[in-house]
Order: sequence, then C-alpha cells, then structure tokens
Amino acid sequence: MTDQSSKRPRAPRIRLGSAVIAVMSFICAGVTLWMWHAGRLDTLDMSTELILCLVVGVTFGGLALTYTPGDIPDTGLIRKVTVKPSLSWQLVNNVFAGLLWTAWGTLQASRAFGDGDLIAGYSYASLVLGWLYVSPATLMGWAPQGKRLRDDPDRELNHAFRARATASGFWALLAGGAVAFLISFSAPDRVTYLLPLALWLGGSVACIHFVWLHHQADKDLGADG
Amino acid sequence: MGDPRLASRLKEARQAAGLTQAELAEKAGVSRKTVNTVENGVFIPSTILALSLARALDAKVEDLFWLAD
Repeated sequence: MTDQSSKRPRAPRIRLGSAVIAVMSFICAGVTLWMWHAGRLDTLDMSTELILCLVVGVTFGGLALTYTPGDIPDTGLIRKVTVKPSLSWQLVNNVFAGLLWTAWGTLQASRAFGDGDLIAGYSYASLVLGWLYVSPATLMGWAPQGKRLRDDPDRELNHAFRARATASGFWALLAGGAVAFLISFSAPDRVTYLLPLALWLGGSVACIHFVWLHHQADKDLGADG
Repeated sequence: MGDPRLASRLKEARQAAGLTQAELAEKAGVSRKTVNTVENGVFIPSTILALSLARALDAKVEDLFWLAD
C-alpha cells in the first residue's frame, strides 16, 4: 500500500528529459564560447548564421512550450486547448530541432575534421550525438505519452513546479539579456554571440530549477504517517 | 513557497481518518509526494485536486482548506 508505483502507469521521465536538455544547453553554450574564444564565429557566413539563429529559435521555442507556465486546471475543455496542442508542438519541435541540429552539427563536424581541427570536430560531434539520442527517443516514446501524462500521479505537482522553473528561467534570461545589452555599448559586434548564451542560460536555469524542486520534494518526504 | 493566505488541516484530517500519506494518495489518484507537498504548504492544490482529497477523506473542501485572515 505504501508503494503506488507498481499499481499506476509509470510517470513520464520528465526530470530525466529536463536534465538532458540542461546538459545539452551547457554543451551548446560551451561550444559557442569556445568558438568565440577561438575567433571562429567571425568567419561564419550569413547563411550559416541564419541556420544557427533558426536552430536556436526552434530549440528554445520548444523549451518555452515544454515549460508551459501556470497551474493548468484538470478540466476537459482546458486540457483540450492547452496540454494536447502543446504536446503535439513539442513533438514537432523536438524532431525538427533534432534534425536541424544533427544536420548542422554533422556539416560543421565534417568541415572541422576535414580541416584537421579535432577539438572543433569533437565539439560538433557531441552535439550531433546528443540530438541523435533525443529525436528517436522522442518519436518512440510519444504515442503512449499522452495517456501516461494524464495518468501521472505527479501531474499537478509537475505543472506547479514548471511554473516556478519557468519564472526562474525568465529572470535568468532577463539578466543575461541585460548583460548583453550593456556589453553592446562597448562591443556591439559581440551581442550576436551573447544572445544565444543568454537563451541557453535561461533554458538551463529553468531545467535545473525544475529538477531541484523535485529533488527537494523527494528529500522532504520523510516517514509516512 | 506556498501562499500564506491558504490555511489547511489536511494532515490532521488524514491522521484522524487513520490514513497514511500513501493511502490518501492512492484514494485521491495522486502521488504521495503530491500529498506531502500539499500538507507542507509547498504546493497549492487545484480545485479538482482539493475536491479529490476531500472526497477521499469523506470531508468538505472548506473543512480542509480555507482562507487565513
């Protein structure tokens, strides 16, 4: 009676997904920082920058959808107009972003390895490997996810924690944007490279806060009585 | 982390009913962690969850939750 996990459908691995997204965000930020430090971003042409902006936008548009703010009430009507479209958009976004990241990362990795630049090659390859995991995992786990989400005993708690995590991510994003804005006065050409970092910071903070809230709730469980 | 305007006697009502958190969670269709966070004021339940908890305890919602003055 004390363990209901054996009786209920298994909850979606939302926390694991958040942790994976956070780690990948940090990898993306690291690669960008390294490219900036090495002066590689100055050599990008317009089409590459456009693809980069598209990829970043799609990725973080998906994060915004994943972390739907607000404690969504459990009513049929609201669930139909909020959660389900959101889930569908997450599917489209994750797969689309995965394809874009994979294609872009593969292209850059092949160029880097072709130039004999092993560090850059392995950095891009790490991005590709991450997304190669996410996209099939998303597709394979999607069909039963709607039912699992509806039956998830932690569903309401997840909504509440997501709202708080989203707020944290927003403030981190705002702080990062403010720093980028201030830097733009002294080095306007660097802002293009700082804004993706601010986006990654916001996404990472939201993911980490969500995982931390669950970790705290698990820690506070204590003895049942 | 919760809202100080919300007062609750969920824990007292649960103990009076002779239920553990896990047993109440099972009856209400949520996790024990959800019940624990509601009892600790970490998480404010939705109307549906409050009604589910009240039904599981055979009580009225206003007996479990009310606005603190």
